[in-house]
Amino acid sequence: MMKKLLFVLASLALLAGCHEDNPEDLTPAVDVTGSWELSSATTRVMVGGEQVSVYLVFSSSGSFDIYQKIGAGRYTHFTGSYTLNKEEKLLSGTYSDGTKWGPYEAALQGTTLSLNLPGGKEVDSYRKIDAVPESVTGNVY
Amino acid sequence: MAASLLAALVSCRQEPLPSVVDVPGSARTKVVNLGDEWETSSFLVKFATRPSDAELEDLRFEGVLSMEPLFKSFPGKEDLEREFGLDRWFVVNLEEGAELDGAVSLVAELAQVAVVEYNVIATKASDCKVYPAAEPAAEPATRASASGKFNDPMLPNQWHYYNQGNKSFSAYVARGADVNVNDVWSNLICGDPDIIVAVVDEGVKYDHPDLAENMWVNKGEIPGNGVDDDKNGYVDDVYGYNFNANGPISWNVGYYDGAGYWQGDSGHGTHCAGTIAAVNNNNKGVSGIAGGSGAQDGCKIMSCQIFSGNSGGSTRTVSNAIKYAADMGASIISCSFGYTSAFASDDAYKRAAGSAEIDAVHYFEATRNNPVLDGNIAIFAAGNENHNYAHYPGAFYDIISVSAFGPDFLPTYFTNYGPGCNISAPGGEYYHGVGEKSMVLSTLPKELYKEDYGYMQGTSMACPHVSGVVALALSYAKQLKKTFSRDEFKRMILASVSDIDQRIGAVPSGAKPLNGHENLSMAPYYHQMGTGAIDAWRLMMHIEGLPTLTAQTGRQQWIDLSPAFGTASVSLTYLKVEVPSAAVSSMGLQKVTPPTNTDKYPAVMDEGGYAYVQFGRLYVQPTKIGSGKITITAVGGGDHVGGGSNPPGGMELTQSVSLIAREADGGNGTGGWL
Repeated sequence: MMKKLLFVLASLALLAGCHEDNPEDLTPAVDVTGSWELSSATTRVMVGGEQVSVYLVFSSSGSFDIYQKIGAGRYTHFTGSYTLNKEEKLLSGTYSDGTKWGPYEAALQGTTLSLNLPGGKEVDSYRKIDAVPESVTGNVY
Repeated sequence: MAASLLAALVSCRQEPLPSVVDVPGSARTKVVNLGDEWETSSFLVKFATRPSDAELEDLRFEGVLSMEPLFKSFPGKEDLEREFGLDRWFVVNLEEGAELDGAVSLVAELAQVAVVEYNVIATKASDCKVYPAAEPAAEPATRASASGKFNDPMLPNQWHYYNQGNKSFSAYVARGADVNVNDVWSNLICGDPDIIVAVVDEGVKYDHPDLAENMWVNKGEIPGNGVDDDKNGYVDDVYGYNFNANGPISWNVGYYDGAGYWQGDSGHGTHCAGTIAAVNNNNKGVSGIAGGSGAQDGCKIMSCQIFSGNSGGSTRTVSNAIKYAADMGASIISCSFGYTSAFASDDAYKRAAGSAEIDAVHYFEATRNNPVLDGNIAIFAAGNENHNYAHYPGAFYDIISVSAFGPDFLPTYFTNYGPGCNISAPGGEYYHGVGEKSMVLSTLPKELYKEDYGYMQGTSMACPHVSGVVALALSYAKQLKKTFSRDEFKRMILASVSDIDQRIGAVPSGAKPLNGHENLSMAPYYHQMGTGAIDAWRLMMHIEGLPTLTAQTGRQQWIDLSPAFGTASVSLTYLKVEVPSAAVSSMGLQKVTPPTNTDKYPAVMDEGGYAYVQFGRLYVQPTKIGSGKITITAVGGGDHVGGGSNPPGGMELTQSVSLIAREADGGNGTGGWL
């Protein structure tokens, strides 16, 4: 009887949970897969005339590509692997030469992905795009 | 005046002055450019102010056959000619039997004379040993060569453009011992017909099957009619001019001596021209660095002939050839010659008041012949005597001088190195066991060697490699509609290098391995081959724009300066670091902890203590997100800047780098954004 009651209570709790307006649970699970373009960055504001252009591509298989152009010249292409801790929403990775990056706190609002260093002041936002333009992928060092 | 000069000349004839050092008193400082060999029937004079015709007539003392302007004035260039004093240079031709040194001594004492210059004979910067090469059967026209973009059948043997480490070139071959031009051809540019390179050398065989299409043509001249149609002072100068013989360009003048050896033209100019712009992708022979893609888009070659047969190029000949290049539209002069004498300084070479040749070079560099630069670029060979200094005129501090390496990416046994040498390029080197394949392969006159192609070695061959790369760079900058100052462009050239010193320092035995040069110690060459090996791809990237460097806030760190100075940045001598207050403020730069090991590895500190450079690294400590420009000055070619009364040295290279400070560590040196 006790076991049965506990089961019922648990079911109720579960059902209740499904309908509860818990603000935390309104935030969708962070899914970083896809292509992203840097849309705003603290540094971008700070550097004024310098052009900073960054594209991130996170694949579902766990690999990433970064195309970046800081200042003049062509894009530099970086590759490697990444992991996303979905519970803590922490994104980290390893460049193909073994160098680690992150972890960044990842937050997704609509089509905007924010990656911030925990406790840091730098805020970088990325806009979801269909694919990295050919004018970028075809213009690398 | 005339009578006293005559008396002195006569007495000098009786007892010749042994050398210019016997010129008395202050007049001695007016006499410049004493070489190993000079013309005895004439010398050059530069007046303090341009003399009137009457004044010139008064100076025509007995013993002087004639006095005539050294340079032909070019319509529309009179102001520039005056600016560089070209209008004040005259040739003094002596009567037969007149004694040269006495005349020089007397003329130097005249108050109105600023400079007296011997008419020195230049030497070609190659041993002129040639190994002809038969052209292999052409590949099908639609098939590109296995080693590159073009179908030229001999391109796979031109390791000097794209060296993939094939041991047939040397048992100690080094992948990348080349000018790194392959990707430039494939992705960026192959040339531009508006960019003209003057080959100041032996005559270029302008109807060579692999050069004809890329020869510059003077459209104002009707070939062979014996008339100066364009009224530039030169008759029938269609592809250039023979300044040595004052007539049509030639490339096979000479004779066989009693022992049956050829004495005369060597094909030197034709070989250099092929390296710069042999026609590419024509299914024929060799490729040229700026020879186009096969769509008639190569850079053009102008032949400014200063050597002919056994006759060397005198100062008079060379100076006029260089001025012609400036006046007729060349953007680059490729000068594979020099004077073997050592000079203690630039002033010793020109004795402060100028020399005809340097005045002509500076006139050339001040002339604007392309939409990219506000001037032109002169490039010289460093010389082949294995001297630890560059030969003049290339050693002049603001003129680019080129040393030579082989397919082993080590200095060649003959190359000059050290002060005055600004940059290195492939010059080829005959190796025992490999033979001529390790030399530079290019075009030759068939009349001399029964083949259209062949191998040569020398800094003579290294020089046109840099000329070709610079021609490509001007083509690319033109395509991108970018403009630069001439001096800015020179700095970019010297900063667009790959490191050669690591290879020199890593030679296991300390001497050149294998190949018959085992006793040649490499130690003297360390840090002495200019800024490094010219790298065409890097130069194109510099033209596109310097990448910005990134630093992380909150820690002292070093940042690799190779994006700004090439991979030779670790080897350069740095003179100055300047951090403006705006950069200090924006990034919250803290004073850096100064280095302790400065005796062995000199460091250069910013005046405010906010940054220093050591080992080719910039040390900073930003505390907040921001950015700023930092200016760094280094020496390109040697450990000090030449010029004036300084010992021969390098060129000052000043680069500004943008620095962005972020919280992200940029991959801890990887440079990635995350």
